[in-house]
Amino acid sequence: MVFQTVALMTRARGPDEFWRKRRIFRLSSHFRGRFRNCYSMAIRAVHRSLQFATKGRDAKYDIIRQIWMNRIDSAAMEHGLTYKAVKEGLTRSEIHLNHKSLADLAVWEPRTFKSLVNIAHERVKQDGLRIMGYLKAPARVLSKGK
Amino acid sequence: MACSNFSRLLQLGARACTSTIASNTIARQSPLVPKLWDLNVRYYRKMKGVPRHLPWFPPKPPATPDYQSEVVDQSEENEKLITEVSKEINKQIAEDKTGRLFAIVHVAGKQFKVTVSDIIIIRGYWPPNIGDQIKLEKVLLLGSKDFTLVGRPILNRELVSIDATVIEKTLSNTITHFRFRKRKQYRRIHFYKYQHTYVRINSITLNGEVNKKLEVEGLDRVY
Amino acid sequence: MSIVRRSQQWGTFARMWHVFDATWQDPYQSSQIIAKYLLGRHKPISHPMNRCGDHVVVINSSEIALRGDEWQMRVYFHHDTYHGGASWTKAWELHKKDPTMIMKKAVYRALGNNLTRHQAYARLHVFLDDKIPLEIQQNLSSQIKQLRPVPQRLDQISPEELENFPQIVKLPETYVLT
Repeated sequence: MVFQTVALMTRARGPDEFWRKRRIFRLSSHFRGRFRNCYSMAIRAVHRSLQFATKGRDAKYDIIRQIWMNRIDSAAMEHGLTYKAVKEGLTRSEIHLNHKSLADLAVWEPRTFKSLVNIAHERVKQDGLRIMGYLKAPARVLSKGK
Repeated sequence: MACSNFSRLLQLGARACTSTIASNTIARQSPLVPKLWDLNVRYYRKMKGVPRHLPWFPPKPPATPDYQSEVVDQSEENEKLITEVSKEINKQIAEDKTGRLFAIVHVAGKQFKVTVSDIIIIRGYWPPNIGDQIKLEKVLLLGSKDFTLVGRPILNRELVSIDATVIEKTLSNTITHFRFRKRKQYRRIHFYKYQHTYVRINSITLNGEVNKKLEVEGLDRVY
Repeated sequence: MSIVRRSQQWGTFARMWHVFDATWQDPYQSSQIIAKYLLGRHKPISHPMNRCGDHVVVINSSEIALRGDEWQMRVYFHHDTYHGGASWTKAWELHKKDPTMIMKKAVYRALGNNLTRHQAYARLHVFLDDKIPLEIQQNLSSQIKQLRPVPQRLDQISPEELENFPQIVKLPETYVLT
């Protein structure tokens, strides 16, 4: 746009219409039907999708956390303990592994995870908690210094 | 007169009918066993004092430890077992038969499971610069083919050393934060990027022996 | 991919067959556990996008036990889309018509409303008694623990054992137990 007079320049609002719409059409390029190419529909769809993206970024972590908890629970149930008991037993023995690393161990290092479950089981049994599970306690768990 | 007599006769008949019905029904019902279609049955689960478990099922494990039974002193046996196990571990370390080690490290508020030649991405502001050689000291767990060392909460920093190098510092993709209220003239759009630091794990090594009591500790770090 | 890694992959994602004995079990409580096995939520590798669900064979579905007065009060609704085509069937009526139906409906409901439901439901096999086809029987390799123990009925105890059972009170012979 060429501003030949001051009056025209003051009337101009925002960038050029073509490039302003172009920015929106870039975001709506993968939409379906007229939501892709008709501006008045595309802008609404882009606004909706950006709102969903903003909300979904937080909601994603809730889902991932549920998956971790489910994985820990199912791996612990293989050794006869529940998720709650494992978490309680490990926290009481000052082993501060978080959900992510426990879930990683459950999938990729099952033997390490089993030893952690044994520690938790022994601790829970020692403290006389009711959340112990239905299997017998492991043969022997010892702990030593470093 | 005739009318009143008639009504009295009706009353008598009605009383006779009710008494027979009552005697038949009440005699059959037992007060202890309510019928299944009694409405009260539906609320039995919610009522207090109704036993949930039948008496012939095995009871739950005791909530408190049994203080009456005799405790056998196993400390000597335990000590023997500990020395045996740690001897076996130390033998593997000395002969370099531990295989590829993995560890769980705590860096910048997050935990990572790493092995040698891994790259971890640390998100957010983190001071180290490109080319810095760093030592990751918060090791929560170290595992090998046959044994796992678990820290409570972290392992001794002289026992395990994890060396790493910062190889890249970049920014993440652009993240659009968009808030919108329809019909309320409210629209906010912000763009931001996270700082990403790429760290390469160079080596994970076990120094010295497991379960060995040193005379002096912490000499590697005197300020 | 080497043969070893490939067979490891097969071993990890192979479908197992579990058996569940529904005798004296509440179908609505046990369906929660069965749904977990059908969707693969009992495995550490489970993920919503990961197809690792197992097969579950439910036997003795005619022996299920509903809680309280649910045989009378639980009602199954069906509408055949015609005017006045709504029908309400009580649980005891449905169980009389098809002894596997209550179990199937309970599991279908427990699987949740999403796209994985139909695939998971196809892995459920319900039988009204313990007679199952040989080709299914040969697949079974695991058993799901029952929620509650099955008590022994009085008519299942042998008369000799009943006679020898110690009694607190000696009842007169003229006394009739009803």
